[in-house]
Amino acid sequence: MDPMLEAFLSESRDNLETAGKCFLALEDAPNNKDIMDELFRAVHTIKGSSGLFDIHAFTQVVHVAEDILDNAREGALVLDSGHIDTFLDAFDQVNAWLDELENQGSLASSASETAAELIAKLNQIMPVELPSSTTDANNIDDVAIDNSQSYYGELPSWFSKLPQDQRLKAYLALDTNSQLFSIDYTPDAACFFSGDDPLHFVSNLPGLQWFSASSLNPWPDLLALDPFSANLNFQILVTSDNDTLQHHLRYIPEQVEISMLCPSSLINIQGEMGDLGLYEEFCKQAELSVVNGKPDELLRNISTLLSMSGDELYQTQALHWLEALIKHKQTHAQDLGTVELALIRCMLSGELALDEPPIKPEKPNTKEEHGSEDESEALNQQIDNLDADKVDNELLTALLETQVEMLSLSDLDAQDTRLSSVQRILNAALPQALKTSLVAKASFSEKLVACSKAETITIIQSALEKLHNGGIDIDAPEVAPPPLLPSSSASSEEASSTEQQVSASDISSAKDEKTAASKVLRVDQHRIDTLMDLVGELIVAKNALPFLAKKAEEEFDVRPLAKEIKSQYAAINRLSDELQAAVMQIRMVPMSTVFQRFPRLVRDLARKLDKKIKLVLEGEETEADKNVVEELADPLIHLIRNSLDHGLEMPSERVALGKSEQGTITLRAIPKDDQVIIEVCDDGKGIDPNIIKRKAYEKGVIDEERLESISDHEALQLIFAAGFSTAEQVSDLSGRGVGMDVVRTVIQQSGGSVVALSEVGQGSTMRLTLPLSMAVTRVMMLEVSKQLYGISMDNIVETVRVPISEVQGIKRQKAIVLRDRLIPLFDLRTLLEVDDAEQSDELAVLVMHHGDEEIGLVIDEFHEGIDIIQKPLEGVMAGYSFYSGTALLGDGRVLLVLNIPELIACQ
Amino acid sequence: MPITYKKTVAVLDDNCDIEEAEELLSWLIEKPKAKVNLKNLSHMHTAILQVIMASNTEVSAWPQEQAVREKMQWLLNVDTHSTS
Repeated sequence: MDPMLEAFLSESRDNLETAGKCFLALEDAPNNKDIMDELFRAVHTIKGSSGLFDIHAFTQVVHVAEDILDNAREGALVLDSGHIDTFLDAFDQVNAWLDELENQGSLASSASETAAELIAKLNQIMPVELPSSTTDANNIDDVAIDNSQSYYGELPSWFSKLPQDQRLKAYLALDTNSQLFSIDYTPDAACFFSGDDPLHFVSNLPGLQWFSASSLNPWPDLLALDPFSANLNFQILVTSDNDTLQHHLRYIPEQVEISMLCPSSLINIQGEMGDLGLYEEFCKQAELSVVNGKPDELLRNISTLLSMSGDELYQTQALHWLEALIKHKQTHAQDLGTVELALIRCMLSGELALDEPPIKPEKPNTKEEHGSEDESEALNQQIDNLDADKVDNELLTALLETQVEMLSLSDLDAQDTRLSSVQRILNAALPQALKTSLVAKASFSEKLVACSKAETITIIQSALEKLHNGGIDIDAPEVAPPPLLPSSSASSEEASSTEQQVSASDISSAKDEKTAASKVLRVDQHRIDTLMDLVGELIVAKNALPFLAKKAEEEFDVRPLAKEIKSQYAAINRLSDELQAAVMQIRMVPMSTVFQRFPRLVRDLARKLDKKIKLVLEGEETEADKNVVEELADPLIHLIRNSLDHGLEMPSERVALGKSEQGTITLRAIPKDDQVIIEVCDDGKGIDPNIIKRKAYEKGVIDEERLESISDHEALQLIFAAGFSTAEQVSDLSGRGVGMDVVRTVIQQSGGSVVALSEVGQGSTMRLTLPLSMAVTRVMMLEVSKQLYGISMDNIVETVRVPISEVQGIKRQKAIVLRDRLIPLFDLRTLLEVDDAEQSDELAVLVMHHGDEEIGLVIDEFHEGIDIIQKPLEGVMAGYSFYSGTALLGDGRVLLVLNIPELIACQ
Repeated sequence: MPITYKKTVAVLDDNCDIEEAEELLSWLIEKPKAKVNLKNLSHMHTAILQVIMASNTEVSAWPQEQAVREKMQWLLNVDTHSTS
């Protein structure tokens, strides 16, 4: 695999783990800034490095998550459990993608759909316009774009080429969040060589309304044409918000020229003026319809008129625009306004008197508010002024005149509606300055509502008067527009300063960890395994030396040489032991690597089951061999699920029993000699041994005789028997009766054991005992029928030689009494079905643990204990479960390691 | 093959990548009156677009897919491809 990808995978997995932990921690402490920062850093790093690879879906999801977290970090959002669920889901998918990347080297084709779903879900958390959804860019650093452009820029020369229907479409696509931009994009001539496809880039711009291309330099003769040198200039029209657009264009700032255009410049009406007489009546009616908010009536009139007008006429085109706008506003439940009025009036004047952008300039978004407050304050002010003042003087006068005319009409039935609609228009149309001058101090709109028809007319007339006198300077056609781009530059500065902060904190945290980081090596496990194998070989080779010494002494009779070999052996032995310990130490990992997945599991399951559960982790720092720790994961999941599902009661039950509402599961690791003990404790209802006994009997796990004699403790262990389940119902968590069986099997395979302890009503404890390491096993060698066997030293209690006279027979079972304990004897010759030994008057007995009791194995001869690297049986031997494995001895012989419990069970 | 060369028509299917540009160019040099069929086109690389624009090749069939057709028509239907 690509080493970079490899590094990315392992780093991202670590970061995801950190993120997961942080989310859980945030659930308890939503406002903890440190956790939030750590979380953000982790996600930020994942996103950053994912950009190195061709995994857009992945990057997008992480990017969106990062954006939301950024908001949360700034306090704009508090994450609740539901949000965290969404995040965790998203990161689960990200994790799955990492696996996919590792296995297949790329993401599945469905990834982008999955990503879109996740992004949609994430966006529900914080419905901000995230500029990332269609990002094709990978880098994290937002390039500051030169923003030294004026507000509404000049119309580009190609603007006249715009088709009429595109103009209309673009106009209708504008809303409060977007503006109209023209982009002149001249791709770098060599851009194809860096893998760019400008056409693709342009096609995917956000809010693309129209684009075209022309040659930059006139096309040469085909024979001279270099198809791989870009010679194009793109003319693009988009409706988008500034930030999104800048974000998209951040890699090619030098290749684009962006200017923001006045939306009304889209309205393009050309043609000869038709006969005014035809339109005068219509215009009057139409204005009334607009003012009264009767779009239906207006639409009817328009279609009548359109059927009478010639296509090329100026008025016809204005009518088409009008019709489209009204229809659009109708479907979006918007009131008709000044644009419509202007369109109507232009049909008579032949001039579209519309200076005001019908769309409000972009409101400063949250990000800016977080930036310099003064700046955004000033910006707000300007926008307010702009809103109010930028109404055309003439238009306003006309509007007011119409209002008076309307109020003077004498159809009584519509009087009230008309008055209120006039008042509405006044409130919307009059500039703030004028309002204050008309109605001192009090809110204009409140005052207005209270006015009668006559009073309203008076207000309008005085407003008209003031307009004419120019008493108030509202005629500000060229109002200095809000410095849109400076504002966005402020926001991008803010953004980049955030970046800096992040990198600064990255650095500081890196400094904190500097000592640790410089000493930590990421090494592929295979390399350690190889090292381990070599150490194993060394130990085996070392074991050959004593044989050699013996040979020197016995066969060649050179005692001094034998002595020297022995002393050399001692040195090599010490070194190899230390080497082995050192390698073992490398393989040691803390239990936390397996424990840390459980907070998430417990949280998810607890939510699913509606139980309140606290998970307490203890002794996470306890170390054990990596293989052992990894083997633990599955059994622990089973045990914890069992505790969650069967052990802990519902909150209501718990309260009724006088327990605290919240149940506790404790996961504990305790080091003990060369073993580690893992306990899963819960304070739930415990396991009733009587129920276990009954169930076990019903299911045929034990027979009637055993039912009578079994102790409570023994009965509890029956839950590990195959095919045993106490749950009344099988839930999707547990209860199929395989879980505990699997637990026991896995643990035993790793050379460990599992015990259940429980007290009814108080809770239960599952105790797993595992060896710290599985790599090197210490076995005792013994001889039976001239063949060497090994038995794991862990289970051996003692070795004794007993006179044959002390062997007693109880029924058919032989036994000895050793220090007042009755120890049943098994003859290994019988068990292995080899020939009986010739009688001697003394028996060599190996006393060892078997389950909870001790047994004695009768063998021929004891030998020394040795360290071996146990290899599993392969091929035809694999089926013989009473051998647990084989090992190579120093003199080249193969040692068979016996699995005594299996051997006795085979009897 | 995203581009199939017939007698007088080059059929551009699916996604026509930059690798096709040179071949298309030499084919169009040989057959100056040839046309391009974009019926099943989903995207053409800018380099292909350049070749078609520079050669002023006529389009015999516009893309079926609405969005693609619209874009191609914006690009290729404009009469003058002169410098703006």
